[in-house]
Amino acid sequence: MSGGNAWSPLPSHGFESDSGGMGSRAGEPVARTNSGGGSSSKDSGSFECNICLDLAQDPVVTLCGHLFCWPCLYEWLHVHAHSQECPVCKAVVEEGKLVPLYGRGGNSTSPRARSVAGVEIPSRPTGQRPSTAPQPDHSNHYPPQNPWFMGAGAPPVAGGRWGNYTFSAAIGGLFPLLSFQVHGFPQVSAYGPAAGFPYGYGHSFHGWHGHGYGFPRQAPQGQQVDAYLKVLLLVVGVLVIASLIAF
Amino acid sequence: METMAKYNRSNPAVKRILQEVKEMQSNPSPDFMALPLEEDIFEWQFAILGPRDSEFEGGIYHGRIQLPSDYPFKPPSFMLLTPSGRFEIQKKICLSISNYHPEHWQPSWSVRTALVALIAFMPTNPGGALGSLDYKKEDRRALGIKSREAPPKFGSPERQKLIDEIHEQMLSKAPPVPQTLPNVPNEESNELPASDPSGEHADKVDEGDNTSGSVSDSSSGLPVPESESGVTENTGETSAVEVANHHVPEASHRENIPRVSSSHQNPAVAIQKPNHDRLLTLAAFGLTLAIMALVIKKFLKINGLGGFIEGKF
Repeated sequence: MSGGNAWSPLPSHGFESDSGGMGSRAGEPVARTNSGGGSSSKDSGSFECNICLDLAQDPVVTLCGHLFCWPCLYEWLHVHAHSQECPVCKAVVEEGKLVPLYGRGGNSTSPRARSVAGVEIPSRPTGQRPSTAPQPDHSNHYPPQNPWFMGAGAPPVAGGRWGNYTFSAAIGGLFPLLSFQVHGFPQVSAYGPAAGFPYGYGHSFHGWHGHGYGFPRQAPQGQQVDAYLKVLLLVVGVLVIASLIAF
Repeated sequence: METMAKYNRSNPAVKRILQEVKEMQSNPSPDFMALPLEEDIFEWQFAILGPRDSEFEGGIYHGRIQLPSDYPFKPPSFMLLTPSGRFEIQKKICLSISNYHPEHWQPSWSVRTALVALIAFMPTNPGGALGSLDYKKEDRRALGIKSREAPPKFGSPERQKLIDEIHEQMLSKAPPVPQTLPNVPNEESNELPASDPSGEHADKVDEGDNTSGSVSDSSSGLPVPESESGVTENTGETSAVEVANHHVPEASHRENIPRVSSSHQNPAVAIQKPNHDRLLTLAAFGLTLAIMALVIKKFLKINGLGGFIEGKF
């Protein structure tokens, strides 16, 4: 966007020089130049040098944010200024901290010498390029926030339904098939995992993961899940009754 | 030589002056007007209105500006042509914006900012600065009223024509004359200039000493109006504002990303709820029973390991 804006004033600048060349009278070129300059100033007011009021050639920006042509700023700092100060706000200007602006178009490798001042302008300071931005880490795309989502995330997630079904299958697969001791651990983790259980939990998770992955291949249906839940309830009820009798 | 310099577009001073002429013609100000001579673009004629709420209000004061050959790296010189009671006529005035103090000049200043500063300096205390006068308020007001009647006579016919043109345009902009009785200004104005030339040398010596004092005064007072006017008219500030405006959309764009991701997560949660309400209910019931079983299992552990193993199988 800004490149396009900076590029458009160039034709008006050409028109400006043409009108200057065409005019032979003293007053006529002034009038034409004014009209051309008017349109030019409207288009490119933001990219004009603060010293020559023209489109910036070899633009540089100071730390205080003011834009200059590099030849204009160099002439001010090295020929006319009594101190290294910004021509606009008198802030300290350090040449090592000037930021050049690179727009579209070729960089002028040979800077123009100022005939009026009789001083050769060196090349403008180069930009300070920071290091490359760190690349995104793909392994962190699916962080394990809780065991249930871990189960859902482990198989390749092709769609929402598949993931949801895998989640439900995991629920169905966990309770009825795994041992009584194993299914007790999720509740412990739900209320805060104890220090003594992580190893056992990991082992149970590994076995559960393998089974959960294989379950969808057996023509999964909701009715089977409901049946499994019923069996789970019966088993739990029987175990509770047996425990009560034993106690 | 200077006439040829006018057509020398490679001269940065000429380019700069032409840019200023375009800017002042495209954005005219109600408080002042300035135009260069056709024969010499480094010679300007200007006219300013007296500042409001002061004894100079309603007055039209003409002057002349001479730009240096290495403008804008060197300051111009200013000379007033209309009697004002504040500045001497046909004598270069000493201000921080004029060539008396090139160390205070800023290349980002222009004829426009200089005229704004000149208007702001009129009501200030001259402090004995070179080219300054200290008339009474009544006399200044009378001179201001008189300044509207006719422009001053100065220079070549072409310059006089330009002065007349500027005067007519300033009359159309000027506010109505404040009502004040004139107090015989002719005699006083005639007397004071007569006394000045007689003591010119002595005045110069005295003013030289005072000038060093006035330098600190004017330099301390000047930066406030100059920096303000310079900053307000500076395109750099406009660029900064646009940069700030550009940053806001970027921030909102960054905010949109987490919104998208959060909205992406919500449908997944919503999809899960209606399909598994029954399953969740049953699971919760089962969990409750499992907790009870856990409590019982702890008691079994206390009894013995054999019982625990048998219970497991």
